[in-house]
Amino acid sequence: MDLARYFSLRRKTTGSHNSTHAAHGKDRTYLPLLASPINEDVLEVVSGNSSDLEKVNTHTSTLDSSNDTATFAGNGRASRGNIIVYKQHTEASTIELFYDLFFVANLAYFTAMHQHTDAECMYSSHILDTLANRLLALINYIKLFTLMWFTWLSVTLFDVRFSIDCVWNRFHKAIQFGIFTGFVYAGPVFDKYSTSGVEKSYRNFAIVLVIGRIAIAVQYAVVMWQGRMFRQTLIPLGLSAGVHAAAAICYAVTMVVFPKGRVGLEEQLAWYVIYSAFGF
Amino acid sequence: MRRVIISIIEGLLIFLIAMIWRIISFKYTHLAERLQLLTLIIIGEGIIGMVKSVACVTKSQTSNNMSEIGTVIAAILLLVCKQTLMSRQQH
Repeated sequence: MDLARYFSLRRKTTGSHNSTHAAHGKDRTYLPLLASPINEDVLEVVSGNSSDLEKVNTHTSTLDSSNDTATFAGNGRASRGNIIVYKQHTEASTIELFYDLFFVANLAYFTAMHQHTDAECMYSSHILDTLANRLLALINYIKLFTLMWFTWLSVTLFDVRFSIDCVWNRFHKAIQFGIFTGFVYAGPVFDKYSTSGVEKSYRNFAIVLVIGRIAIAVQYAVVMWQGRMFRQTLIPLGLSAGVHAAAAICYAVTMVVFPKGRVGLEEQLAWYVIYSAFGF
Repeated sequence: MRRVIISIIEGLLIFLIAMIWRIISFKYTHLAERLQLLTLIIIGEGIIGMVKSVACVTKSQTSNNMSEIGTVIAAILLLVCKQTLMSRQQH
């Protein structure tokens, strides 16, 4: 209707409906640097007298028995009397869907690469060689997909619970976009037919994974710090951060300790299975 | 292979933590919706591959035989069935 508001911010305040637009402009706030995922209602309840969640729990449940609310009470409480400490999301945000696009772009790239290697497998002389090569290419594809999906899962499991739109979380999303772009290093590692530069990509890919997991661990640690008044959340959040940090360390260990051998264990296994299945 | 195992263990541990300490559970989150959307996008990737293959088949020859047409129809029917299943799951 009022096209002027799409054009510039200044015209909005100096327009004909000056008072309403000024009020609308006042509503417009800047993106916070670091938003807290804690429910404000729970904070209000806690700031009364006790900082212990058990007391608050009984407090609100006795309070709520007089109100008899169905599923969600106003003060951040679930049906069974458990306090919902963190803000709820009802649907996926745009940046999460954008993150899915990065996943799919990677998937498209590796699917095309898989078809390419599949075509090269056709030129082997022996039928069983062809079969084994195809199986290996498939295993490589599944491995790569698993790695990508679990990377996506780690980020998503954090996002659905604790992600609030703020500069800090957007910065971490940008890091995760970079991580998925860094998956290009995984291409030569899982491509059986390109032998050039495998060691270098293997190392770089480990660095990419380590950075991604450290970023998620830091995010969990920040949420833990933000909710430090709820003692019950400290252990699980600390453990989650610890799991991701430990995974980062493990990836770093795979980079340093185990260099990429030419013939892996699963490769030998695949050949063994193929050749024993056909009685050679 | 080791990295794949590490990542699987990592994901399962995060789920385990959320299952033991219910205060950070996934009960009221939109995790199911996110997984559905990702599945949809991955199926879209599959459709791209299918259409590419169909284009490849029709490009290389002048006349199509019945088995190729049948394969294409079967692929489309499979996608339709998958879509029906997904939309049923939503409600």
